[in-house]
Amino acid sequence: MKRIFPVILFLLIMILPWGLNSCNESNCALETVPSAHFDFLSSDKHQALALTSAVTVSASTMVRDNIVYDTVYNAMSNLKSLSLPLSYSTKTTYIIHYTDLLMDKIEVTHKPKPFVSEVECGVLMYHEIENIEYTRNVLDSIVIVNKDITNEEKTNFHIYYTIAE
Amino acid sequence: MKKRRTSISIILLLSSIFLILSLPMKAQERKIRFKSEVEKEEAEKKLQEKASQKENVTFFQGLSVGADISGLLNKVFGGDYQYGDISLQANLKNRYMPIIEVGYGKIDVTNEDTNIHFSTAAPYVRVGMDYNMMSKKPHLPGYIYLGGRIGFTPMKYDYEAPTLIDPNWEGLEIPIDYHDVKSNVTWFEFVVGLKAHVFKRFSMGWSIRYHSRLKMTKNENSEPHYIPGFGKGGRTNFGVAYNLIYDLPF
Repeated sequence: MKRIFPVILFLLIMILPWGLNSCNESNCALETVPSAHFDFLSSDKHQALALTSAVTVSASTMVRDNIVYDTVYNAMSNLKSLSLPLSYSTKTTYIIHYTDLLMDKIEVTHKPKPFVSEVECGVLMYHEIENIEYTRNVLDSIVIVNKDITNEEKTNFHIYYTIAE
Repeated sequence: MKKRRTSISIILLLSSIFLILSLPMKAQERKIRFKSEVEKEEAEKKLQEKASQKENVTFFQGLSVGADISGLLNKVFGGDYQYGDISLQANLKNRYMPIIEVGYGKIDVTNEDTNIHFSTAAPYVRVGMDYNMMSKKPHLPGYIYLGGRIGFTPMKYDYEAPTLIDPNWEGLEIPIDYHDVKSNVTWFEFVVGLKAHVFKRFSMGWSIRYHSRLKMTKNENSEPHYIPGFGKGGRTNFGVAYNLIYDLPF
């Protein structure tokens, strides 16, 4: 027994590292550029609703003293929610076009927070919502539900509309 | 005076008669006790012997110093970090073994795919205790133990990565360059290990360790890729230690 003991020990010493290396595999997030999630709700019953008419949603931000626009949704109908990109600056503006003449403007002030935790996974871009301002041409109100925008699929804003009867 | 002498001699006489009469009775009593309680007495004696043997296990059985060499071998097995620690362990009743481990870990790595560079070099300390699962079999050349540790490191680290470019709006960029980011990390370790006597006062051993992070100073933009003494892999991970141990001669 005394002679076998160190032999078994030596074999275990040689084998163990391979077994344990497999335990340290990293799980990188698939989504590295998170979006702000808006859900549409009715003002009276706070129930989920869809915008029946076709809407176009554009996002814009200031780049070197110029406002640069980007269309995110183009004439989409039956929208129940929006997933909109946030710029790497501190302010992103969204315009929801209901018709050619009717629109709402939503201005989100946010703090970009790059985040790195593992060299294999790259750098993630998170944001922290600091403020929101909006027009009320069609929508009633907007409530910040979750101010942290990460790669988790969480609702960040509730947009309330009054349903026409 | 005569009366008094007479009464004393009567008392002495009576007491000596009583003493003579009581002797055979006592002998009879002893005989009866011996027959009925001999087995009980023997059993009691055995129990007492066992108890005295237990009491004879000395409380302090010695000190040992050890070195964990797994961190030095880590690069040989394809790892990208190195560490090493030395330990001082006391043996109490061959059962309880408080231990302190002090070490140093470092890494300097750049990932080829992401081009992210991370580096740190910091000391760490672990304090805890092992429990000898085979304390009743001291004749064996080794033993299996279970243990726990609380680990701590006051670390600083650096990250450098390619500048982040906004994927939607061209022209917006954020540089990624973080230096001397401070972070204090505390963790718990559950240890299962084996120690085997090899030669004279020398022993060898290995242990598998489950690490669970308890507390870490949060930083807005980063978390360390590697924590000295804890390892890689987020909130929990597994580690292994190979120890060379020397029992001190006192």
